[in-house]
Amino acid sequence: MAVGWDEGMDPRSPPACPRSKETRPGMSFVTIPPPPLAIGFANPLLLWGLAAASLPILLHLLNRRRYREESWAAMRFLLAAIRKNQKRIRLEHWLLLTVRTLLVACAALAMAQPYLESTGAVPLLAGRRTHRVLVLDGTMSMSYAAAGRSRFSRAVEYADAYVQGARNGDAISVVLLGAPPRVVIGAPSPNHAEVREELEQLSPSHGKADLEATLSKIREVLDASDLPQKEILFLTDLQEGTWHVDPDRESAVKRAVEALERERANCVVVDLGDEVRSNRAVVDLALDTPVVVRGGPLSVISARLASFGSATEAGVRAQLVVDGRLGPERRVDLPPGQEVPVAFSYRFEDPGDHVVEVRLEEDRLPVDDTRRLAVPVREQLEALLVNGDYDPEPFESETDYLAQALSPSEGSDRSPSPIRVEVATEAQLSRRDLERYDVIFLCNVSRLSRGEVEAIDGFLRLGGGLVVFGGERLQPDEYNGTLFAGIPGSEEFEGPGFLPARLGAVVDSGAETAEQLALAPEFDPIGFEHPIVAIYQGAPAQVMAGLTGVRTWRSHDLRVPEGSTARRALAFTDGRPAVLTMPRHRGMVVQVATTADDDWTTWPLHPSYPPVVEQMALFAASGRMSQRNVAVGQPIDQAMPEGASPASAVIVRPDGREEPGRLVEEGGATRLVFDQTDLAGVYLARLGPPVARELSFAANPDPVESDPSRADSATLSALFPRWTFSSWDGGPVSQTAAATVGRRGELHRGLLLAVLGLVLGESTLAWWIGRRR
Amino acid sequence: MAEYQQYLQPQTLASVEGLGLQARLIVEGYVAGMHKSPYHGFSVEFSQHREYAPGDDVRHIDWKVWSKTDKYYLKQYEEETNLLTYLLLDASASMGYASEGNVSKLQYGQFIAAALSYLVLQQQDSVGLCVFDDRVRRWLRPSGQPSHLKELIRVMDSEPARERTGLGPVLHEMAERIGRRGIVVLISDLLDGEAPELLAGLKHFRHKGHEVVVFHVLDPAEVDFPFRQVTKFKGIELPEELLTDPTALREGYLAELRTFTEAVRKGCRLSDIDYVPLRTDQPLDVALTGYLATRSARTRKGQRRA
Repeated sequence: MAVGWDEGMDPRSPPACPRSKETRPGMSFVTIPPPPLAIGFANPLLLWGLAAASLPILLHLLNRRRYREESWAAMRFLLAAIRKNQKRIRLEHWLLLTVRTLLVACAALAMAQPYLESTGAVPLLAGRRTHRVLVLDGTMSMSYAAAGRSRFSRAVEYADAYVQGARNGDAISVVLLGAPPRVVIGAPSPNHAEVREELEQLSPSHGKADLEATLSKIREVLDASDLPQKEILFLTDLQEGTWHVDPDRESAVKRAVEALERERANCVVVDLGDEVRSNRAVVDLALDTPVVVRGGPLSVISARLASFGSATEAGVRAQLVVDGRLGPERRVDLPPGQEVPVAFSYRFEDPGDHVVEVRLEEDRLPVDDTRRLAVPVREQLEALLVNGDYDPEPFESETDYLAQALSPSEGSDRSPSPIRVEVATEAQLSRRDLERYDVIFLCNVSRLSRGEVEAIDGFLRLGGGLVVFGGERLQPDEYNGTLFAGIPGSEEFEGPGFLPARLGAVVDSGAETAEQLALAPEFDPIGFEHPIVAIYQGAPAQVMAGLTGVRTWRSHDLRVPEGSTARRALAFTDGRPAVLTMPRHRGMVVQVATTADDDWTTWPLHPSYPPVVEQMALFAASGRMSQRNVAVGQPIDQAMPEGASPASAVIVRPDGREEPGRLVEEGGATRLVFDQTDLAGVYLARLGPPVARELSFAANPDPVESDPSRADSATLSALFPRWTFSSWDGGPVSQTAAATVGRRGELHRGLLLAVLGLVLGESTLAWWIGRRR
Repeated sequence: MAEYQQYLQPQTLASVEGLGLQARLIVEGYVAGMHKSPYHGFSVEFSQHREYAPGDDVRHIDWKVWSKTDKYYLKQYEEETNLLTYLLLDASASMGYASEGNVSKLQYGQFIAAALSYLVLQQQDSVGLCVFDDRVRRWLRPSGQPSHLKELIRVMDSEPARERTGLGPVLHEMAERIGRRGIVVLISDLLDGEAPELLAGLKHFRHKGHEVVVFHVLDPAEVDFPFRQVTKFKGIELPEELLTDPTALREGYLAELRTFTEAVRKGCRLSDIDYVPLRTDQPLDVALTGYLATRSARTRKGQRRA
């Protein structure tokens, strides 16, 4: 066995000569075979400790020099004894000396952390060519910069050293840990220079991590190579948000880990995290209204700020920035572990896309100090009311109350309402171009044709809102058959249906007499939790009575199936749901159990009717706006209205790079899809021709990544029992040390066992020898 | 009484000046500890009177003399006065060895010799002395005169020689030289010469009709071999030097010593020789008891023979 130091092996030197003896006609090569097995050392300097192995010998010699003298009379017995026992004594001495020397040598070797480095001639377990998979943590927390260097750049530095330290013939893959994970180099590359170049160009994302997906990606990468030996090196800050696994996902992650272990992959985690004292972040930014309409009321922009430190940060400045123009500023104290709300009011004057930002003073992790909101401001909200029960008399028609409530100035010359209402009869529905509208109200519509259902389905796919009122003319069997959406996951759910609930029998408590009416059920606002009725939260009792005093003597029995995603906005006091909402495709569906007019209920006569149906319209239309704001890592997916489908789309990313966006044709509609949202910030989509348009999108980081707390080592060792965890403090890193980080402990565990055995052996031997004295 | 007895400890005794005094202290201390006088030498044939000394057996007081003179006299008998004791004291170099805290073997031997001389002379017996190393150094003919003690002590109180012991030849020489039968007391560490050679010498005495007592004097260190650290052993009589780890050798050494002493003991038993192993840290009364046992045996034999 030859001993070689790693420094001697230069990965840049030309590939090793063929090992075998090659014979060609006319010429022959004899190459010197490399040593079949070599030992490398992670800490070669500690090999000087081997000198300590001479200690027992020195002690022995020293002991022999330090003797006492004794004039002895009974010399003849002593001489006789030594004649008989000399061989045995000498043997015992040598044995003991050997054991002691070995003991010290093993301990010194163990400290030098050796590993086997076979050059392939011996098909042993260690030292064959290795497929090394570098997994760099690409989550936002890796942008945390201490002493002018971000964790990610340190990870790259370490990875660079690791690649340089890798042996010739080792193949390297690079994966970025994230959500979704990114495979930088999938096919294992034996060209280390290329890998290093690729590493140089890497930058962290601002996203969070999907550990499970990353592990399965690593598995795929491992499968791509047939090298027998595999090593996976994670370079991460071990942040809690990245490495935390939900209890219900734990078994899946464990399975993924086991799969890696089945591949015989050696998993090593190098911890690059440092002690983080504090971090502040804007963890939430929201508008009070789902849809902003030009000239509407003041919008309230509310942000929530948080400090993840141990001390209160006093006087932190939070500033509102709209479209790059600095706005008002607030000074707040951020106590640790609490979210502090900050509100700004703003009036959006111009229609079009606006970007609202709330900024904090920058700290060491600047990404989460700003949060953005793309706010498309509409000229007006377009609502289509489909009247299922037309009557020329005022307030006799099904939609008269509704039209008046949504657009109170309709027909007058006052300032225009934010909602423009169009009324159509049931028969006209199929001829309307639904894409033009934001919300469609179906009021007491008896049935819908298949074409109409499909049109509405397409409308929902584009993010439109739908409100369905009940009534006498409505045919429950038709509704249940063609309009009911089904349960998520069922085959029915895949169809074009959209209603959150099945219609049961009509519940009638009678309204002939005042007594009967007094017994009719009222509205239960269920704690005003739903956005539709949230405006009533904290309102005075008499105002609230305008909603809760509504009597409804007739209503459909809405039957929400088990496992539905439907949510109750209002219920009746007898417990049945009155208003249900459910997201469908990208849009939102609201189903009301009673009528839009006063045929079944007193609601249109109550003051609560106009504000609640307006909220209903805005809420239903919110699907259009939510497409503009995504979390980092989530794809941008914006529906294009029909007729405006552009030929091309270019996305300008926050880092200035321009990337083409995908335009997906689906069901007659076009969608813009862009999935490289790995950075936080504003993404500008340039559409056209034929019509040049610009759309703003905002991607925001997950607040989980702002929390600098680190993963608990006990949890980690429970999840990844056979992984090696090591840490790097950021000091100079040698190629050898980096490349062998995974091999540490490979031999030294055995050596330490040997030391233990030798210690026991030495004592036993010493006892056994001493026993006979 | 207790004061006397403490002088039976060789270490204590060594602090006393003068072998004569030491001898007296031993014997007095020894006698004081006994219920019965050791002076048993009383037989049928009256020879003379002796003044009573404390510890004497009152049975032998001559009451007739007491009634006349009002003094206590003991009657002594002919046989006893003729008893001869020959002390052979080894003064070879090896006898000079003393481990820490102990008297040397020679000094211990001198204690024994002096005490026996005193005792024997007290009993009106005759005692002779031979001090030897590889050959006879000094030779004093037996005499029963009390003044003889001084001479004995002067002779035996000498330094150890530097030469090796030639025990076998010396014993033969002595056996030839001693004429009258008596008790031969050999005081030696027996460290020179092999057991057969030694036993042959002792048998020579037996052959001449002597009773023989062997006081085998060894130092405790020689018996126990208590050394732990690496030691260079320098032979006192042999020129060899040996640097060794004594713990490793101890067992072997003790086995060798045991083999030797067993051989001597066995040979002595077969030849009807009293063998008394002694350690220099042992009280001296053991030696005296050993002697007296032999003497009484001799006396009994003499009676039988008579």
